[in-house]
Amino acid sequence: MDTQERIVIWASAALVVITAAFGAYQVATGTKTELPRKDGTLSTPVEQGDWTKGAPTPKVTLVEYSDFQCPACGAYYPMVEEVFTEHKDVMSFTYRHFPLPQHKNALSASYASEAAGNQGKFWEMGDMLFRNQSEWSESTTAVAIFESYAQELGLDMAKYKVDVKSDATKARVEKNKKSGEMSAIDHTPTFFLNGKVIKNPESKEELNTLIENAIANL
Amino acid sequence: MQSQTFNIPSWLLWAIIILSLIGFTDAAFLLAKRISGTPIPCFITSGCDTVSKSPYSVMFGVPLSAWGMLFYLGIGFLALLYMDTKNLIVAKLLPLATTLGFLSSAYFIYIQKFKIGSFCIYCILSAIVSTVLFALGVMVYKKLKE
Repeated sequence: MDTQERIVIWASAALVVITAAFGAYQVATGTKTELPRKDGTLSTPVEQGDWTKGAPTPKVTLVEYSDFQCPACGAYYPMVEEVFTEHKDVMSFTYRHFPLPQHKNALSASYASEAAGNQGKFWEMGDMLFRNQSEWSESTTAVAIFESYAQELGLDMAKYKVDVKSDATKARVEKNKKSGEMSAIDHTPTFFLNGKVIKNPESKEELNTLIENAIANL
Repeated sequence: MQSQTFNIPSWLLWAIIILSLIGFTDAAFLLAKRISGTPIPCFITSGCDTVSKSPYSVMFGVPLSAWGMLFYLGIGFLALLYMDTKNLIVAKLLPLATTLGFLSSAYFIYIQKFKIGSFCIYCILSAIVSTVLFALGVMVYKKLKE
């Protein structure tokens, strides 16, 4: 065999091996692509990386897919907080991002909350975002407004400014969003009570009843 | 030249190369599954995950699937290297390596049957491949003796 032929043979062998390995990897990981479930169950159960507060071993789990800029989410916020606070010894509440594309500042708001979360102030930032929703929703300087909130919360601003733009932050939000899509969510907020979607309650009392029933059934 | 005194037929070498490619892909699949942490779809047998997640699936801290990839890569490399160089030492390594693979596979089947109690189809495929490779290795060995 001449040199050229040998190079061709070895190069094609290497190529075949790489293709085989890559193909095997694709097949192995490709089966993961599940379809969104339409049965109203939560695609991803509450896990370690989630923002969850309340009882460590809850009888009832409430998961909300929410968007800081969505007015309905803002309207539900005080209601959910109140009901949660009343039952926080037996229930847990998990917040998951589902920023909608039509809300121009929703994504950066979720990044701001994640960055605050890195410094242990996720819920505090979420609180500020919801309470002051009208202040920043249509603002062109939302990012600066979020920074002022971070300052108010006493965050390490240098770290905040890095975290708010970091890939890890974006990935966490994206992961939440994906899991929501996998649960076939089409509106915010969407609530999952013990892993099952619930019709958005129309009043605090209705939510309260739902939670209490769920507690009682256990 | 030694290549004139004995000759391993090229179909034998090609068979070895193709089989090692199959074994390699199989092992790569298992390793990818392990890394990604997704469950292994099991057919014919049951308990692929039981096997692949058992403590027996690791040797010297490295998953067996990774060793398998290395093994099949090595076999294929040797066969190709022999085709290229006709080096006698390389030819002698082939039966040795395939025997090692066969014995390992026999041991893994034993582990699956008696220690874990379930079988993993991909591991059995690997065992079949290494058994055939062993048979081919024996043929290479016979050619070398001629």
